[in-house]
This record gives sequence, structure tokens and C-alpha cells, in this order.
Amino acid sequence: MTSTTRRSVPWRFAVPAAIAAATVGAVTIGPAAFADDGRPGLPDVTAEQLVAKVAAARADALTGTVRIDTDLGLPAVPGKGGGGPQALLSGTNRLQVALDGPDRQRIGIMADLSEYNVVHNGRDVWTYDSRAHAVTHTTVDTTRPDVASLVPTTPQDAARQLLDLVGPSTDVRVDGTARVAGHDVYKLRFAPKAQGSLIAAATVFVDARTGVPLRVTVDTVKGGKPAVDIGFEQVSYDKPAAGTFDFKPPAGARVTEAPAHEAAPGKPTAPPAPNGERTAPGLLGEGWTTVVELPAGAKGKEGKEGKEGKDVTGLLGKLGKPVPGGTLINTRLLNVLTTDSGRVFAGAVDADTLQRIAAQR
Amino acid sequence: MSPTDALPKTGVLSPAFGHSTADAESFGAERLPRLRGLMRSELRLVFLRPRTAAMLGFLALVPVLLGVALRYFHDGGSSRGGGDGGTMDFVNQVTGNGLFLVFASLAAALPFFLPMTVGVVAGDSIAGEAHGGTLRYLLVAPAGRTRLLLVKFAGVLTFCLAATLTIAMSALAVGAALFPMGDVPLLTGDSISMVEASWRAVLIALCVAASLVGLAAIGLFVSTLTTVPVAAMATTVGVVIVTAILTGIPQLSGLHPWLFTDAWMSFGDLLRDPIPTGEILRNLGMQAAYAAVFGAAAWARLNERDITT
Repeated sequence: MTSTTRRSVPWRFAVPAAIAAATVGAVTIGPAAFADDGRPGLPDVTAEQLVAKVAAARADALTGTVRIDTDLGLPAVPGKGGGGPQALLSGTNRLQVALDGPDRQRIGIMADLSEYNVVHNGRDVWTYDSRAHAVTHTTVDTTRPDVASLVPTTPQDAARQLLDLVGPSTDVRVDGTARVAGHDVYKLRFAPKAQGSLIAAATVFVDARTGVPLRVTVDTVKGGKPAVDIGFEQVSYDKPAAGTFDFKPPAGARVTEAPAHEAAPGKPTAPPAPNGERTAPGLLGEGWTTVVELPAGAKGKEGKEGKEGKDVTGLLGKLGKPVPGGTLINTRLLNVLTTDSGRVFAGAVDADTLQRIAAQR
Repeated sequence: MSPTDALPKTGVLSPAFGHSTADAESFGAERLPRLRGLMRSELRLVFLRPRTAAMLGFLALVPVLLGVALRYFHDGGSSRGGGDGGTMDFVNQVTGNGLFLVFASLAAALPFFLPMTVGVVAGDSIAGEAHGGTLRYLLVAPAGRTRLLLVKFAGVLTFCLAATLTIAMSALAVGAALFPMGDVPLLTGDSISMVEASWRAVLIALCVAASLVGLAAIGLFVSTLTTVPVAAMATTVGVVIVTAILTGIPQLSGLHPWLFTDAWMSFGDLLRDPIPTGEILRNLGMQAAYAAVFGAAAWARLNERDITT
């Protein structure tokens, strides 16, 4: 083999290199360059008008795909669970959502090769866990607010929790425009006025036409990417297909009937919203610096919910660091203080505020 | 001195003559029959090998083992783990419906067994000819290097499809024999009829076969780098293993969307209702991109290379 037959510049290799470069370029900067992702010109509105519009908006019917990015600053849990609601506490998850009025909702949390469905139809609430091939059924009191909103699985739920915060402690303003899932949106920014909260601001992306919140991001005081980012990837205001909410347990599935008075089983101990009401055993303070006190004996109280709470506490216990009077678990969005006396305080507040509030009790 | 010195230079040693004018002239009428002949001999070469038969037989065994294990050794109790099981997919559905064995087998074979066999076939494609001393004769015939590469790639892709269908067919037979058949529950909890489920199973098999296209192209490229087939096979399988390791490291999550295995499990989306197409299309696009890049690299390499064996 002689070197004379060798070409010094293998020009042909420029072809795969060019294809690779073009592909990478198209994927990374393509969406920004080609999709009209910019800032649509929309008529000016005041924050008050926009808040009123969100409050009045009634997405009677809606179908779509929601993407939830959660980055609480906790180490990634290996072997991403079974795709149940607790999977929403970390990483990126996709959900299929269908709504039809206040009485009919369906949410499917999609994982690789499995899905966790919650179907609410009138008085019936079904959950289906495809990995376990198990169904739970419960009935709810229709006078209660919709069960699905216990977990902020849609931008609407998250936005509703933010609207509850509107008041003297919150600075609300319109923060420009954007596009979400092909819809023009206003950005409505909620920020705490007082110090002490771990949340720097929460932004609601409001559909300019319908007033429906299409995306919510929560930024922390530590900066970086949002701790929570819930948004529609694709959304349509069409009525969901007939039969979407008629759930029948599939053949061979294990069906568990839960007593009617309990909340739907399998609900996670949600990432407490700033005003984490409803599930909270005890609320201290108000507004953005609300702290939740979990009773020490919570675990025995309500079947599965208590068990999951204990699991979470056990997991977090490994992550904690000792502070005077207890153990503190610090994440980007949440501080959890377990006192030596066994009480648990949690809130989206900084460590000093949390310890001060806990000490007052 | 190697025996290649005795060979005429034209068309063999020097890439400049690879696509001679004679080649271009025969582009019309004769091209198709010749391509068909070349393709037929390539398929014969791939599928009449005892090795290929052994690999397909091995793949056909995967559903058998899985089915027997689930039928006779699966105690219902272990299914209660639900969330924390995680090692096997569709286990609880298979016992209720035999068709799910198709999905379970493909899910079990896709991460490693299928890529391994594809790596063997793709790695052998060019390097095997070079090793056997037949590559230069293939090029003496006025076939052209690019066309030879296309035929080789088509041969590997045919194997991808055959391997996937082998698993699916075997799983269908085993599933029907060992488990009840009937309406198929989707991942969303809705049930669909057997007929519709069969269509979805076909789509899933095609989706899984298409997932292997990127790896086939990588194997083809590696195969043009060497004259030692085993080295090409081992490298291609090694790529799969390295990719699996990279996927397992959460700190490298920024890299994951670029790996050709990242959206492999998107075939499961075909078992939802409505079917979310985003990830499936991303997978197909990714496979196409890998095929384009590594196919072009293989083309560049084969055309630059001195074919001496």
C-alpha cells in the first residue's frame, strides 16, 4: 500500500459533516428562527383587566397535551417510579388532558410504556394505573370543588392558585406577550412584595382571545430555570370526543373501591402551592410566606395518602441537614423543617422565615 | 507485496473511476434489473446464512421464554408493586390478554437483543465482503460503490424488519397459545377490539423496526472502516452499550435528546387514546437524521477508500 494513492483531503467527508451540522442547527435554533415564537403585537391591557379576564375565563371544553418540567433541586430519583402522580415531582412529564365542564375531566400522566389516568365524571372518580393494571373507583360529593384540581396538573389549576394570592401582598403586572402552543398570550407576572419567599415570581401566560391560562412558570429567588413550568404543548378548545369520560375498568384489572368520603386515593402530597390550602392540616401565616404544619401523627390518618406522605418524609429525611431545633431540607422551591419534637413545617419560604415561624409555635 | 498489484487499477483501486461514464450511460434501462439482481443476491447473502437463521431463531425464543415465565411462574402477588416494579413492562396486562405479549416482547427485545443482531448484520455488511476478498470483485462488476452501499443498507434494513416481525409473530403465536385473547386494554384504560389492536400491533412492529434504522446506518459506516468483520460488529454493539450507559447517567441529561435511542420507547404511544404523535415523529426524524449522517459518512469513506481486498 503506497501513500501516493491516498488523497490528502477526503472532501467527501464534508457531506456527512454538513448534514450533521444542518440537522443540529435546525433542531436547536430552528424553532426560534422559523416558528413565529416572537412577541405578537396585542392591544394593551392592564393587569386588573387581565386578572378579571382569567377569573372569568371558563374553558368549558378543552383537549391538549401538557408538559410539566419540575426542577426542585432534588437529586434525580433513579428508576422513575411507576408514572403515578408522584412522578410529577421531578423531571419532565407529559400529560394528556381533556376537560368538559366542571364535572368532567380526564388527565393521563404519560410515562414510557405506561400511563396513569384520572377520570372524573360527575360523581365518579376513576384512576387507572396501567403498570399495575389496577383501577380505583370512588365517588365524590358534587358540592365539593373539582377533585382534579387538588394537584395542579394543568395551567388552569396553577393559575387558579395564583389568583387566590392577588391582594396587597402581591405585585401583579402585565409583562409583555408571547406565544404558547400556537396561541397569542399575555404574560401576567405575580411577584411577592415582601421578603422571605423562595418564589421570585410566577408568570401566567394568558390566552389573549379566551383568557385561558396556557402556561405557568415559577421562578425562584435563586435564579436559573423555573422550578416549575407547566404549559400546553398543544391545545384545542374543541369538545373532547364522546365517550372520553365514560370509563369502564378494562378486563382483568384489579378494581379497588374506595369509600366515598375519602379523597381520591393515589393523590400525591402535592408540591405545596404557596397557599397550599385544602390538603393542609394547619396553615401558618398568609400570602406568599404561608407555612404548612403537618401534624406529627399524619401517617395513620388516611390510608394510602398517609403512607405516601411517610415515604416522602423518609426520602427527604436522608437529604436533610441538621439545624438548631431540627432537620432542614432545602430545595429551590421549598424548605421543609422537621423539628426534634417530630413536627413538620413546610413552605416556599427561606430557611430563616421557616425557622422563625416554627419557633413561634 | 499484496496480490492486488496484479489487479487493473480502473474502477477498483482508484475512486476517481468509481463512477465512470459507462456507469452513467447505463443509468436508464439496465439500472433497475441490475439493481434488482444485486438486491436479490444481497438478500440471499444475508438471509441464507446459518448465522442469520440462528439469530432470528434466538429472537423468536424471546417471546417464548417471556410467555412461559409469565404463564407458569408469575404470581399475582408481585404485581401489587405497581409503581416500584419497573423492570418489566406490560407484565400485568400480558396475563390478561395474549396480544400484549407482542408489545411486551418488543419492549424487552428493543433495548439490547434487537440492536445486537442488527449490529452483527450491519457490521458484517461491507467488512465481511472485504474480509472475504469479495468486495473488489463486487466493484469490478460495473455496479458502482454508491449503489453497492445502498444495496447493503437495504439488506440491513430488511433484516431489521425481519427481526422485528419474527419477534412479533412468535409472540403472537405464543400469546394466543398461553393466554386468553379478547378486547385489548390500552394504557389509558380504554379497551379496543382485537381487530383494531392488531392494526396497532402492526404499526408498533414497523415503529420498532424503524427505530433500528439509525443503528443500521452507524453499523454500515463502522463496517466501511475496517476489513475485520468482528471488529465492526463489536464496535456497533459497543455503540449501543455506550449509549445505554450514557442514558443511565442523569447528569448528562442535556445529551440525552441527541442519542438515537432516546425516543425508542415512543412506540408505546401507539397504545394510548388519542395517540400522541409528537414523540413518534421525533423518533422517526431522529432515525432519519442518523441514517443521513452515517450513511453519508459511509459513502464518503467507501469512495475514498482503497479497496485492496
